[in-house]
Amino acid sequence: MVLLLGLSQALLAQEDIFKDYAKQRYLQSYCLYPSTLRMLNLNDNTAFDELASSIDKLLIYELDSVAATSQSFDQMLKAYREEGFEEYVHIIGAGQYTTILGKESRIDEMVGVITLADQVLAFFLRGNVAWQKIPTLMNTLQENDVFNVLNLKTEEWN
Amino acid sequence: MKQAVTLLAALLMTLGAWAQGEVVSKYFDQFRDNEDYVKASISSKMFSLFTELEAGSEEEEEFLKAVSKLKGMKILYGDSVANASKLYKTGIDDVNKAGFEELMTVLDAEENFHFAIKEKGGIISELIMVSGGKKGFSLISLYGEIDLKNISKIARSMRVEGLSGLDKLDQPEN
Repeated sequence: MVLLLGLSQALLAQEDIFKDYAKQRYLQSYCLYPSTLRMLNLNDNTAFDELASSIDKLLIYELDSVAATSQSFDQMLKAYREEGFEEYVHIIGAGQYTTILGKESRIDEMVGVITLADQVLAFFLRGNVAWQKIPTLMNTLQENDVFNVLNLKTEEWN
Repeated sequence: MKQAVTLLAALLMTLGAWAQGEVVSKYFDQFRDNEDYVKASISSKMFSLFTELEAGSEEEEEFLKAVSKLKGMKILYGDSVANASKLYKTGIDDVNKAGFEELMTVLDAEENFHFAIKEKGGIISELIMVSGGKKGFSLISLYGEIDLKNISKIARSMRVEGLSGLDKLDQPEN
């Protein structure tokens, strides 16, 4: 019980670095759990459901233009490196920037920043992800199979 | 004496690991501040995520088998760059100078591909692909333990821009 409590607090502490940064610089935020991820699976793609079920929690923040130009997310990524997160992927050039850091433990955690053509996204993921499902997913996923939650804008709900 | 041999072996292994991907690293340095080129690195940590997963199908098993033995990948590509064909030739020269053996060359009206490997004791430790066309140039290095039969399958599965040239490994040599 004490171990479980200790582990939960350690996991929350890791997440806080992300939240503390992203909450100052975000336009939209999404917090997704296996149940909400499965709801995005419009055509019941089995590989997507299996992948979604292996994710405990996924936080996605669309960052504002200041974050994009100042690259202030570097400080957040630096803080994760100091916590023992290691670089998994780094892509730079031609207007692209992606950094994904990760830490393997009993429950894996990943944090990253991805720039798209008109969006800068920061994410924090926790879970022992079923990466082996990716080839099946890529081969079976059709356009519009998955609802793109990132296209949702607040004004659409008003 | 035994300790000295162990130390020497460890040193050689470290140097060997450091040397992997060095051709692409040289180009990373050369084009560090050039925004026309995308520079991508995938570390051994990323590939290690695939080592303890259980496959649920034959397709997943093949994918895991190939990916879990990789130690890293470096990609440099530009789809609209000056002197692409000259860079292609220089790239091949640099690969040859670094001690790679030619595996296959595909000459195409649009783009040429050159594949080369580093092999020791029947194990391929690095695969390099150099490609160049009228406007595009790319250099991809995959290192670790490479299974050529599965590498094009990975490229197809991942649908990553810049890796599509690895599909050529499945085609007969021109």
